[in-house]
Amino acid sequence: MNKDNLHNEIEDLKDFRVFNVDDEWEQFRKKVDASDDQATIKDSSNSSPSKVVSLPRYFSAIAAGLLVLIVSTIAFLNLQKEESTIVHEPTPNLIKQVETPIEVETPVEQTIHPSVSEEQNTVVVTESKEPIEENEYRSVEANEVISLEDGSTVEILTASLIKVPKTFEGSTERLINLKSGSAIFDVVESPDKPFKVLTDNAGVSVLGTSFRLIKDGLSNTLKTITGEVNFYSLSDESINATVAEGQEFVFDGNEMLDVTEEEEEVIEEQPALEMGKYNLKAIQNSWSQYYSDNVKLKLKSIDKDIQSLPFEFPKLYISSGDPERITKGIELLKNEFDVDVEKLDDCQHCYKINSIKAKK
Amino acid sequence: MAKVFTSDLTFEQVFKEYFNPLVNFVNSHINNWEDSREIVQNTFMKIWEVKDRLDIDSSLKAYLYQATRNGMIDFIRSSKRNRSMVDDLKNTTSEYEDEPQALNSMLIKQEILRAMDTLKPKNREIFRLNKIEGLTHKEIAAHLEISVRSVEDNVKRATESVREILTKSGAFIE
Repeated sequence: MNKDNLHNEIEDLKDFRVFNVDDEWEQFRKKVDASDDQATIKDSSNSSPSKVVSLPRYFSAIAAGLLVLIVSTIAFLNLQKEESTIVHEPTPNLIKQVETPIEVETPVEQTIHPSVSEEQNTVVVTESKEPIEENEYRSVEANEVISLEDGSTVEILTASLIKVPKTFEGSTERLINLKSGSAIFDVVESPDKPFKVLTDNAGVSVLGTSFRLIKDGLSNTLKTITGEVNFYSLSDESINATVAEGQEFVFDGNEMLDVTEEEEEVIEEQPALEMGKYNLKAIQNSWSQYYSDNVKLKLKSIDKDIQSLPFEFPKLYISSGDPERITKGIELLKNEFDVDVEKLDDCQHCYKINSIKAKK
Repeated sequence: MAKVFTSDLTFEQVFKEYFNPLVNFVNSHINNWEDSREIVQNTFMKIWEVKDRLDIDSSLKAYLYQATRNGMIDFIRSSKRNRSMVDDLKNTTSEYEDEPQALNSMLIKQEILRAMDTLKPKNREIFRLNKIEGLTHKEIAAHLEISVRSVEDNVKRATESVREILTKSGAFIE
């Protein structure tokens, strides 16, 4: 590729998908190990075709298998029971249940506690956007806006993996899970029901405000747009920060960092002031139009003098009978603007302003 | 015969470097991420089985490209997909490319994403929103509540950084 093609490559990046190569490598290693085991079994059966597994050993293998099956079934049922009671309090462990939700659509059985109405189930849509499964995440495209039951909105900035409850009724908190991506949350105030957004390692808690949260690997970037937000580590809540309006913090999995950047003040570049006419009125009008609020400097009527000035108009010219006043005026000009001022030898207390531009 | 995989260049390193570019290359033809992953996994599996006696005439990149392309053709045949897919694949990819362009392009994309990881969070986010998500400067400014000028500066700065990193990495042909 040559440098000119960089733009094309970047344009196509949207379609480039990145899989976790560590996970892929692990899967690959398991395949290799399984393949090696098969080869070993094959080899041993080839080398001793008459070998027979003894009966007691065969039975003990079956018994062990059955035992494992029973224990795991009991454990699974207990787990289901526990989860159905904490369906509105997702924890980091809950988030980890679906490791690669976009790629693998794992059907998960609904685990509804008898006392919980159907409306209280978690709304989840897999990539195919089929509605309502529990403990899964919705893959949301960029630029989508999700409206929540309480009137709060979630604006998705980049493709995200997010879990949003269908209702907050019956729960003491309003909980959202953001597994990856970037979103702006505009939260309607509800003092008795805090709004929480959890990632796999960080939490954000607010009453009513708006903020932007980016989840990227271990890193969580929070910027408060309005109000005040409590940002904390899930594993150690003593690692926390109160993020005020306009502030931006990053939690990288270990520490909380203030990365608030000073907004660069953008000054629109103004054209150099040029005079179209030579009379006082034109000069004053132009001056007033550009700088009246910043520079209080009167221009002396010098119509007749202009004819004798040693420079060619259109240029701005200032003069005053009061030397102090004109010096102060020029000082003021230089403080406010990038100004090119030239003292005229032929005219006492006269200065030629070659150009004036807003300071960068 | 010199070994392809050594302590300096392990099989794992090659796998991790080429996995995503190859999966994206395959998916660009068969349009199925899960099958694409499987094809690349199986390709590496076949290479693993012969890694100790592997003798590569061309570059490792060209070899991986060729092996993956063959795996893809086998997959399409075995899945009894439209026969014309195989023909299309043969027409759009070459069996004898030393520098397979399609794979090169995917490797460059991977490099760009890595280069993006080195940008400051704000800079990276603005670059991503503009270049990947396709948002205009004005839209980004509204989203992030900053000036359009600041967005423009950030995009320009990020593009220059990415370009510089890619130049250093040797991704560009001067």
